[in-house]
Amino acid sequence: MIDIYTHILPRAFSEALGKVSPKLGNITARLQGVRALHDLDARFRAMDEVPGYSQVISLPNPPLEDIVSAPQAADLARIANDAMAELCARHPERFPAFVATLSLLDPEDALREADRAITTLGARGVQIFTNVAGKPLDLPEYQPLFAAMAGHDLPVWLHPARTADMADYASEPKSRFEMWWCFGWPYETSVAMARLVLSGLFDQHPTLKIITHHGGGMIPTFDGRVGPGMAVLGSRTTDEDLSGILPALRRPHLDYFRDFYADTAMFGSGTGLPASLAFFGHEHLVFSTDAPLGPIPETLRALEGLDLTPEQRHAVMRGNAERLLRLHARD
Amino acid sequence: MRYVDAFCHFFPKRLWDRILTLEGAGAGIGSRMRGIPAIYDLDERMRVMDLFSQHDYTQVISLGMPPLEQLGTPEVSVELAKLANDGMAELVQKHPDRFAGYAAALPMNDPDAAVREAERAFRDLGANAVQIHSNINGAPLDEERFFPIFEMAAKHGKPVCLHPSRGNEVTDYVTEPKSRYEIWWTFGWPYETSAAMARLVFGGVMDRLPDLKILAHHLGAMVPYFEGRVGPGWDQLGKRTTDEDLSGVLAGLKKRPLDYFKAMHADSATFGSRAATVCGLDFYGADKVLFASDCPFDPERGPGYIRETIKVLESIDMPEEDRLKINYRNAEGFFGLKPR
Repeated sequence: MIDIYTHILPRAFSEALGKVSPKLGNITARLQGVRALHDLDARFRAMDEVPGYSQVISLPNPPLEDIVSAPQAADLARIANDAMAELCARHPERFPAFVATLSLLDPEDALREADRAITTLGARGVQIFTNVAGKPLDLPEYQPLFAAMAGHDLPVWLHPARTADMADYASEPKSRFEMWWCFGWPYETSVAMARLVLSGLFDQHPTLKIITHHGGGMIPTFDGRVGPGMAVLGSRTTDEDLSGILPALRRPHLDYFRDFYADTAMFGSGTGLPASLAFFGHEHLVFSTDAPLGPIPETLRALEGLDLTPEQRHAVMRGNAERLLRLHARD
Repeated sequence: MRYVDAFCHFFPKRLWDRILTLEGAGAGIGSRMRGIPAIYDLDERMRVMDLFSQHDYTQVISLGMPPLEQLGTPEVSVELAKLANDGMAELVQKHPDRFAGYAAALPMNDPDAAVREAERAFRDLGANAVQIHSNINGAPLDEERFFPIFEMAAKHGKPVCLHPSRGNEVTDYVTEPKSRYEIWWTFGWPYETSAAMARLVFGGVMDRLPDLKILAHHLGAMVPYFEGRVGPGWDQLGKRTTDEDLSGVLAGLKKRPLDYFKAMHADSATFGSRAATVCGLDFYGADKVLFASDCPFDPERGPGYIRETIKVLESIDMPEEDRLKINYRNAEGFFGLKPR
């Protein structure tokens, strides 16, 4: 089986990051405590628990764009990609592929790095975050990257990003009790998906593939709000005319949300998986644990309860990943 | 089959007429709601309900948006709450075959007055619940000034119906001045409900009032689908934060965070989503879910979500006993409705 969304902190990257940014943002305390992120032996021991298990690796949160300057972020991305490529070369059975890291602070440089990572280093896609230092992904400056990924016919991994700086209440300066993480991250993913759909991204690039983390955000259980709810887009707004947005799309808006891929990284909960499957279908649902930040055995156990034929199960656990990453077509 | 619709909205006539005389927010709601006559026109409401006469279908009503505290000064909100609760109580009294009960509205911008109004509604007007929105003019529900209101509900053994509230002023990106494409509604409302539930938990309200009954609108919003985040994720509360020591939060709670969320009730109003209904039922179980439609806020302006919600529930395989609980028995006990 192929775990399509897992995270790793290669040593060369961590060392370089430590040099440029002594203050790393508020999530890194947890990352330091997760040994399997930076200790390969610990990681392999966890992986060995599951026969036939391999991982597609990517960097974890936080986004480089949030923690260092543009030139530093670009350098760090190159270091990370070189290091992940080396890990894949050394351990092809464990890591069949990696997802390139980019810094979109300099979109042109990001484009060059995506090309380098894919064509020179063998990356099978790129990871971007739900906002770029606070900016939405539907801005014109980010569109060349989506075009490039459609051209490469390789996926974009979409990771949520938010910190306590996004307050939950107008009366408070920041988000409390890690609400920004628990509900804020799925919210981020949902908003990013909606912005990409409503900006016509999939009309521009009908074959573009985007893998959303954590079960496609809120979409599967809010298909009623996204579907019939959003169908009357504009009716709740008096200070702006939104009536032209949906007619400008070629297809019914809800269809585009089904174009995304969703992973199964739900922290071991099986409660939502039937909804993920019902919305995205078995061809757009991909096995992922978020390891080592999410549990491997619990996620596998939750997946056992999902109503799938053997063929469908194979697609979710492996086949979809092979197709998306075009692993067979590789040299 | 009997159905009690646990979360649906209506404006009694005297309140509606008064709202239409208000400046600002009141005028705005007037123009927006005029397209949905079933929210203020009793005859139209009854015509909608008549479509379900093959069922024994009644409603527990509460006001529609916006919250009264957004409609004016505390003085105005206090006046509106009185009109609202007198009106809803009268509707229940005059039309028991239509309206099985109601959730009182409170002037939350004057917490002392809100406590008094809640007491008046429970004691004198037979209110079955209070409706409170997910934030009070931008403030979280666990602020101490609101605690006596929850205390009053708990004292009377009556639930708090938690309704989302957010406008486009809550932006989705720090680089933009406001939320675009009505995302503040589509995803913002479920976020609001989820955050409000969490604040009642982490702010200690649920520990201080262990018997407080909460009805979380739209089947617990984000909580069921993100059980893994609410459960094992929040079991590690504090590990993602370095600029503040949150280690005391979990230690200060009497239970595991997930257990508080599981103990709340939730209604089946999911805009006709079968997936959401299955997910919510799995999370809460048949003892905690109440049938509700959110009538009349469907694209057909009244019957749509009643019909779709009934259809979705009928399509889900479950023991007959569970079906009766969800459709009306849970509501009877939860709201203290008169048995039929």
